[in-house]
Amino acid sequence: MGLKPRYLIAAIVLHVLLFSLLFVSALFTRKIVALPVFEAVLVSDPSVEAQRQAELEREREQQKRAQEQQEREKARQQVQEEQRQKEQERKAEQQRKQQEQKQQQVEEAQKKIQEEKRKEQERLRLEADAERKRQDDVKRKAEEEQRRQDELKRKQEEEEKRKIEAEKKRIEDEKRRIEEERQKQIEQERQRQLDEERKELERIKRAREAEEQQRRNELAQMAAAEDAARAAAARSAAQAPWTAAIVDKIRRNWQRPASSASRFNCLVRVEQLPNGEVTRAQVLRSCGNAVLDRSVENAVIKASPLPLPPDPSLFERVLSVTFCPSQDAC
Amino acid sequence: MKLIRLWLLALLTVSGAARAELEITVTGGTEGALPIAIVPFSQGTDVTLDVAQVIDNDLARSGRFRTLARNDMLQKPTTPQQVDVQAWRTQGIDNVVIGQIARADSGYMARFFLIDVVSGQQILGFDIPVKGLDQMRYAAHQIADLIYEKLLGIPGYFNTKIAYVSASGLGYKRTFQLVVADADGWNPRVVATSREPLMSPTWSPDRLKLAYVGYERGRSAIYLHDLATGKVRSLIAERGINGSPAFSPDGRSLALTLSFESNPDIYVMDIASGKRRRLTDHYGIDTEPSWSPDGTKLVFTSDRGGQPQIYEISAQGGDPRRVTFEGRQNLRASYAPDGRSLVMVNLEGGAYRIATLDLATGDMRILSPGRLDESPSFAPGGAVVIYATQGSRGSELATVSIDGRVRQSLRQASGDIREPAWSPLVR
Repeated sequence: MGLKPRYLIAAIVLHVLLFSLLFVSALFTRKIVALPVFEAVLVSDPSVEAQRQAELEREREQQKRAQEQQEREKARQQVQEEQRQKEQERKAEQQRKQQEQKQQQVEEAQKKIQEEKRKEQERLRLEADAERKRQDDVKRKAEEEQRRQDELKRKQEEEEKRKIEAEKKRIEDEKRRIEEERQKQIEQERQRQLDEERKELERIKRAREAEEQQRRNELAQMAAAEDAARAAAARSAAQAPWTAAIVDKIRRNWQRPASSASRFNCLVRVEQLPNGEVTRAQVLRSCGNAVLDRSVENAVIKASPLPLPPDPSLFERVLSVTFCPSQDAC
Repeated sequence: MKLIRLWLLALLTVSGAARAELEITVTGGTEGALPIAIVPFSQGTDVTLDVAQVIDNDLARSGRFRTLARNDMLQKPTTPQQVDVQAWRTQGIDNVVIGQIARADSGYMARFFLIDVVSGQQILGFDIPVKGLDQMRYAAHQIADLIYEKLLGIPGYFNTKIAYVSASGLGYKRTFQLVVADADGWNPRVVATSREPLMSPTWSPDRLKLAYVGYERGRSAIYLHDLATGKVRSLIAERGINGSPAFSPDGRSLALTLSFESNPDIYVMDIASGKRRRLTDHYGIDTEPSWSPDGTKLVFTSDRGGQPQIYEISAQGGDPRRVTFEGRQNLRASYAPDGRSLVMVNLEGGAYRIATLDLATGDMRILSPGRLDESPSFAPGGAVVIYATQGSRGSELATVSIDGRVRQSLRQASGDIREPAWSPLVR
């Protein structure tokens, strides 16, 4: 068992101390127990007071003694303590010495190692120097190369830039040219539109003039027609009694089959001689079927000779006769 | 604006140009019978039939012609060259018919001309071969048909047939006959005879068959009679009434009255399959159905309103619509060929008379004097209605033009004659 002797010694000392303390305490304990028990009785006898004074005195004496005892004990313990400290110091000194020795050994070893290390480092430093040198060379070379290339690149870039500039310029020129072209075209278009507008205006003007002319013509024609119509109206008003006589005669001669159509409207052109004799009756617009067409033709023929107008100047050779079965069918 | 001006201009120009002609308008005129002269035909003594007279009767009976009496004829031409147009015109005649019957290789040849004496034009001329003298009447009817169509624009119906029921004898000897005769009542031919009543003969649209109601041991049935073969088959013989058959215009269905389900209602039966469907369902009596010419509707007699009146119903069924409101009763209606009017029996003041009803205007027109006129039936073309009336010797047949102007009794054999049915026109 690798227990160090100083630990053992310390342990024994500690035990002895502890046992001694135990012993002393046991001594004092017994004394306290032996203290008498007083039963206090109040009396008015001064002797008792004196007795009590004496008692107090005695007790004080006892306390003094115990105090002395305690002081003694204390001194003793102090001595012991001092001894123990001395011992500890001694031991610590011993220990320190041992440690110093040990330290010395370690230092020596460390020194040795450091020396080796230094040597190694020196070697490495040399190697590194060489390497650095070599690398420096390479680096320099590389830098040179880099410079060269940079130079080249710069030159290329400049060239490129120049080219771009030229291209830009070319594009600008082109743009300008196109813009000019466009402007030119716009101008031309504008000119053309102006021309067209002018032409259109002229055309409209001409058309208006023509229309105006036409309108004038029409108005003239209308006026003429109106005059003619007025004349015709006047004439037909004069003819009214005569036509009424003709209508009456034709109606009396118009016979159509039972249960024939109730709605039709047909037109017959009638030609007559100045004596009223019908020379021709022709259906221009059919009544819808052959039977009715024949009935209207026959009505005209059966009505021949037609009545004559009182004034021969009102006579018309050609009549347009419309036939309807009833007024609301016309 | 411009258009209006132009239009005005055109109008004025026309009226200006019209100055050369006088414009007049004639309205009205006379609607009525056309004046016509049927001159006796030149024919040998072997031809006993007065052909011209048959034509004359046909045309006059139609109500559409006014024929000139022979006594009033100033001349009797037989060839177109002989016709003095002016002379006829002075008599107020518009058309003249002349003709001759001559012997031909195979029988006879009937030649006729229709001359419009107003225009002086021959407007019709035909040679009609006649196989024998017994066919001469039909040739005359054919000539009448041609003239009718030429002058009126609608087909003639003089070569059609009529069917009717004739009853003779009394008590247990009473006999019923189904007769088919020419449209003028000539050449009657008995097609069926029965001791029990025969009723309601009706023609199939192809005019080859007759349907009618017959009785056998007191039970009624509807029979279909094939006129060509004489074969008869019973179409339907339900319990109760089997009555009033009416062919649909397509000839496939028969409308009829049956009472086996409850009381008399109208049914439509498919002739080929015998399947039938009920058209009316009313606690009143529904009977005497008749189809519209387009086959979409039917009219029938019903007393659902208290008294028998005429109702119209879709051929698909639905709610009937009452169409007659004038008269105490209206019975046995049928459509005119144009579908615009109905002919029916009208009871008013105790007299049963023939009347027409304009379906559009509701205008009712009484055609016959009564008192016991019945069973009206339109002739093809709708110019004339045939009906049964009470004559001096019992019930007989008469025709009346639809304007009510011309009424004539038909020549017929003796006996009670009832329920005439005019055959369709088959061209």
